[in-house]
Amino acid sequence: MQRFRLRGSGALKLFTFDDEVAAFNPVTWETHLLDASAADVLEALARAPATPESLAPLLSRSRAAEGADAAQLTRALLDQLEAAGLIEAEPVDATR
Amino acid sequence: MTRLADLSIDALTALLAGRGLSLDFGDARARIRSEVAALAPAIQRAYGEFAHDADAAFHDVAVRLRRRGGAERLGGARVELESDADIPFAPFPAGIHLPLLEWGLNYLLAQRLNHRLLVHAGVVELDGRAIVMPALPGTGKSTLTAALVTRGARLLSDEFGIVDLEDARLHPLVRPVSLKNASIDVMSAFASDATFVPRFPGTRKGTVAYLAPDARSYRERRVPAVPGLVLFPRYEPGAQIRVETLSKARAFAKLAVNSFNYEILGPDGFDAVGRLLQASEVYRLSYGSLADAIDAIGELVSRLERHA
Repeated sequence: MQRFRLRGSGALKLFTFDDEVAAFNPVTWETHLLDASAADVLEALARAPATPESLAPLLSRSRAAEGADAAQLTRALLDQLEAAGLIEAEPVDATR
Repeated sequence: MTRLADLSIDALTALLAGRGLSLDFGDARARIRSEVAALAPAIQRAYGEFAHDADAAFHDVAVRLRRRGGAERLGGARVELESDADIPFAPFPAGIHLPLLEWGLNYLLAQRLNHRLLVHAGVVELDGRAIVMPALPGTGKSTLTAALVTRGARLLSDEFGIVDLEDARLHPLVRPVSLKNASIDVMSAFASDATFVPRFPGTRKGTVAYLAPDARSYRERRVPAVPGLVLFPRYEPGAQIRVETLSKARAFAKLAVNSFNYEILGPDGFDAVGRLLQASEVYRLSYGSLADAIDAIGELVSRLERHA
């Protein structure tokens, strides 16, 4: 199962303001404004690499996830975070 | 030390022509030399409460105003500003000496104070709390900054929100407040007893005048202010006063974009903006009258928690 992780070795920097978050990308030095679900996913990945399935429950607090396909939403969010350069897919270990 | 307002014009002219006038703005010092005689009375009026700091060993910025060309040259005599062999602007008409000096100082200071976050903003202190007003188009931040100062607020800066990287306090850089075009008459009527430097018509920004810093703002130029409000004002002629809460995340983006060195500072700049916003209330203020705006700002400051 594919896992995702934060990019770079720099510490993740976040400022949470109500239901929005400012995130600093330690690799590109870009700042991103995220919703709370995205920040939850980043914080989870800061603790350890994770699969989309294990991250899906984090989106349940987002209104967008109500009644929607959680797996699809998680995938879309991971795609956005990956495009923003904040996370990356772990290389697949062919020996496993 | 002697206030510049109490020096003779001859003494000030000699200082400018010789070893230079040393001015302490608070978070930075400048040495100013000039061979333009008309600059001395303009400086005396704009910086009347300041003293020449004869003992200063270090200056963040050193500038020299020089005459260029002459009456025979098309367009008449010009004046140019030079700093460390750099001439950042094309020469100005000779009569626009003080605006050239002020814009030159802005340009140079914006590049040289990278030990703090520099946000393009007007900043005053009221009842112990800093009010940061980012310079977005249509805000009237200089007019509002000037109006607040003439009603008792302490001037920190008309141009730079200087944010401490450790604790997000705002550091003063006390210099004259620049007023442009219609705002000059508005402010002259609003505060007829304040000291204004006479107008400079025909600049690239139209007619420019300056409000001279008051004695208290100069005296407290080394005293930082605790964050209080980040205010996004909008002047709308005839508008009723309106105060709205603004998302801090949105404010984060506006401050970062409006900073001179956010990208240079990287993670330190990110932390400084975040800490400033954590310690501040953030509002959008629409106003059609300066008096109403000042009342509303006073009310917002009075509601802030007292800082320990």
